[in-house]
Amino acid sequence: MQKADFPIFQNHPELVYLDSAATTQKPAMVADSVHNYLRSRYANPGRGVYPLSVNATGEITKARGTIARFFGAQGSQLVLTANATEALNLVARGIEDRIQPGDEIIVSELDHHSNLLPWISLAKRRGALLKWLPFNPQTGKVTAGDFSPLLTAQTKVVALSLVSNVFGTRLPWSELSPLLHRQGREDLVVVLDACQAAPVAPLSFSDYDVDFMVVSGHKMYGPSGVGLLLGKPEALDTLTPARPGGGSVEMVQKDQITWKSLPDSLEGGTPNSEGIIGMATAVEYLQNLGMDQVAHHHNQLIQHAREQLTQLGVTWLVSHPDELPALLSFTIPGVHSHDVAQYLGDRGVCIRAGHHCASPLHQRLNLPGSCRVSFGVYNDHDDVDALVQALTDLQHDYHVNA
Amino acid sequence: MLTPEQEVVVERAQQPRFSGTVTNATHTATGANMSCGDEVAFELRVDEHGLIQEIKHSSRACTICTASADLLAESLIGTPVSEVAYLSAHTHLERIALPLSPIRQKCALLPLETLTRLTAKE
Repeated sequence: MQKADFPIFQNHPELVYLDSAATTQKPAMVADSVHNYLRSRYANPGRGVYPLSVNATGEITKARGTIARFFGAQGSQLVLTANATEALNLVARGIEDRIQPGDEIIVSELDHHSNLLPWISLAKRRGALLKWLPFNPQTGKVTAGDFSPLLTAQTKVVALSLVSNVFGTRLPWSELSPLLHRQGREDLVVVLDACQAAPVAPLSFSDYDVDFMVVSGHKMYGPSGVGLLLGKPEALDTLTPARPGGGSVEMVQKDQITWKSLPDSLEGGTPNSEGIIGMATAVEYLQNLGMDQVAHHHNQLIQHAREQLTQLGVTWLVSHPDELPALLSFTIPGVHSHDVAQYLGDRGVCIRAGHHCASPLHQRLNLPGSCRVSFGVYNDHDDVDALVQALTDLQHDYHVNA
Repeated sequence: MLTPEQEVVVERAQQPRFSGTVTNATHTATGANMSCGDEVAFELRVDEHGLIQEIKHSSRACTICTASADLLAESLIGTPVSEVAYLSAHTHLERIALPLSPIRQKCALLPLETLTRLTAKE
């Protein structure tokens, strides 16, 4: 669709990059914005009173607003972190004091380690009970029927992902949301990991009645080192700062701390200012494309690739999908996923192999790993053809039949 | 097309010469790479002189790991079991004769690391 916008494909014409769910390649305008900021406008924002720093402060504020509005939120609702993992940990650490022994935390079997480990660690530290929402192995989805019995008066945290990074299936949010009984449950914290949802379709924080939503900057054409924690103002206000440091306080006296207002109070330390500038540029890039167009293009590629790979005889991880997935995970009978990825990688076709940071999911499926193909805005049908050819050659060379 | 070295490895993994179990095994070892799911197990029969007379492996693993286990088993027939604890990773990687990334080197070395934890059966 937009391959010419991405310099890496001019530098590596043979590259067939099919691992955007892990990280996305960067358009020239993102790389240029970072480069130009570093070369001519770089300073530590929010610190100096000299023009260079004042200007950098303004740029970061503007970038924050651009990014927040892209997700239907205000700048004050956006906490900028190093990555989505840090964002999730900021929430887990930020609510820690409110979690008492016997409180319950619901997570999902199909989730990414970054949306599991902060809650596993929190439960262990506070003596809370971790409850696992199972998934249906045929559809690759969690269900309201399985979710409902897990919810009790002791549930304090629900942490789920909008789109599975292995199955590509979507959380049935419209069915789960009413079960959460938002009215009167002020003590319940609901966190949604939107890392796989944000790059492939329009997403608005205001469409979800949740306390927090987390997005990964580098998975949506932004630089590494930028994570987005979106939150309701009242929810962010209750977080104990888990990254206190310079820039998060108005004043430190030996016996008193005066915190800055949100989101600064949660963003201690020097920000990744060049990354934030690049992130805002990535948002502008996507706005120029139009997320509806991005979603349409993405879905077409998924549909085409799924048809082609089915003909090749791959074994899909989801045997009975009830929707078009956001990515494609499969195994090749008789060939370990690492061997598949190595073979394809040697031929310039980049796919992901292993457990994709979702080992509970793979344990449930009794699989040592799987292959994953995921698309970005730069992919086209030629890339799918290259994938199919490489897999065909692999089946020949490894003497496995379709 | 595969290179000749890759052909050797694939052939060894798909038609291993030393897979199975050992009757009257005197030593066993098991190992796993939790991050990729590779699992390897060895059974050995060591004679009264301390020499490995028979060695078999059972692997649920990738091509590199399975071939590595098979090549390693072949190399150990007739060698003193006392040397198993001191097997050279460098020598074994040369035996496999493929350029391997650090991740795939872990696959290749799992059988060797497993054997260094060989235990005598009761």
